[in-house]
Amino acid sequence: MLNTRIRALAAKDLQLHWRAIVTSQLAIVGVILLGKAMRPHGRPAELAVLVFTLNYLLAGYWGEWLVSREKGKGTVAWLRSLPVTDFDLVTSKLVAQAFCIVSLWALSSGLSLWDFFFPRLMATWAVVLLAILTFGALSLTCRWRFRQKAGQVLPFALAAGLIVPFVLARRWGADVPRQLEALWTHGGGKAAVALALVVCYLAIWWGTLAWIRRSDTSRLVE
Amino acid sequence: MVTSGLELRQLTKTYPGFQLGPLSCRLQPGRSYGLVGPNGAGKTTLLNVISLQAQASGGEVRFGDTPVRWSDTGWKERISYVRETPSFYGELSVARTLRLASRLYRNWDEAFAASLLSRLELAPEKRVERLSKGNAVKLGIVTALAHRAELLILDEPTSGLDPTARAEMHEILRALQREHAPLTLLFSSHILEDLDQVVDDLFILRNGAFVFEGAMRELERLALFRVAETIDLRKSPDVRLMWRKNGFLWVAVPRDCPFATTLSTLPGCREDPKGLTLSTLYEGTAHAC
Repeated sequence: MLNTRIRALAAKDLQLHWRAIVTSQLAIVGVILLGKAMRPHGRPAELAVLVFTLNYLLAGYWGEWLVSREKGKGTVAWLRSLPVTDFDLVTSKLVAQAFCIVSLWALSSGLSLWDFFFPRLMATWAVVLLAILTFGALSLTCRWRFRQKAGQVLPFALAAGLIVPFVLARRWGADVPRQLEALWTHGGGKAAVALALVVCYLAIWWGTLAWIRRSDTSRLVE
Repeated sequence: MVTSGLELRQLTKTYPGFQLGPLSCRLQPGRSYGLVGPNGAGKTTLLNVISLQAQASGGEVRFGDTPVRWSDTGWKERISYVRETPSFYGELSVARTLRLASRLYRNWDEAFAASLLSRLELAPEKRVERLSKGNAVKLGIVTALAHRAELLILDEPTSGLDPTARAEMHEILRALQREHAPLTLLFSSHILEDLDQVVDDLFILRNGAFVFEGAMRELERLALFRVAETIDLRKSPDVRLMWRKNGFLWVAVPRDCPFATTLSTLPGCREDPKGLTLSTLYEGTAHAC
């Protein structure tokens, strides 16, 4: 499925950033384990929120990071002068990012929340991973399309636009969040959310590809 | 193998406030072409369109009988584009940069890459960020040629190089072209010495249009006349270039054409004893009429 060029480009990204990737992953795992050690009798759900939040922040960071370097140093211009298709370019970034996200989520949740997720909440584990992947892809596409500040802030603003109303409605005792939670727990909520996330991920990939295909290289560098 | 070279047909590229073209020309395989013009003339834009870094607004680029499509990776395997400042990954070594490039080209020639590397005296283990400007351009040339490109596009590769490095670059390009026929060179520069040393044919671009196209050898055969600006010269087909400057009309025509004789008999006409030099030509195109 992944052609040689995509594998070569993704491997190049991991090779260029491996120190930063490993360091940030170790730091995040360290913070989580420290949090667990400081509150040995804390509720697993609270720890799950911490693990999710850190993974989510780092996914956004990696998305921004993988593209910023190419745009800022103009290396994307060199890549585009080689026989690399725009499909290869976009897909390889998503593959490199997915590698980072999946490995961190598996490592951090496996080390600190194994008993919480497995085997009872495996579906939740997978849906949360999909959500982080989708957010990472959003951050990647925002950075392709916008300048640094906007590219950094926009994905977080969009995610906040979804999460904050839900949290506020729940706090104010509105019915909708309760109904959604019931659907999530008992109905086909998890499958529906997973499907929606997959559709979003593919739409982001397709939209980014369509935009890059239309763009002159000068629009892809800063 | 190339049977006929690159052809531009009514090629245009429009940006807000600037239009390149419409440009039409044909490059013959195995020759080297100089593209010269002041900053903002459209040289890089033209090279970007040819190398598919920018999408043409109109017209087409053809190679042989085939039109080149936007995002045509097959085309990118037949050409190479070396920028003024090649933007490689600074953290990678020369060898790793070449390994990355080798995985992206289907027609990469490992042995040829190794021979170019040793010939250009590039240390494989050296990190790209530690290379001098000249060596970075050399690395650009290795990555550009190791897949046996048929057309090598160079955008001001000697800009910022000292005279020794520039002379070395001229020698490298001449030798590569001699040894790897029919490699076509398209060389953009505003250093006239580069053109003198490397190119066979010249295109001068100003404000997005070619104001002169011709062989470098042709310059030696052109005479340059200065006549009073008030003289109404009907444009003869023999006139290769004409410009106004300091109250005079400057006319370049082949020495042996009848129109040269006609010009020399005009009252007050003076022939420049140096003939049409490259620098006169370049200056003249700024005022071409």
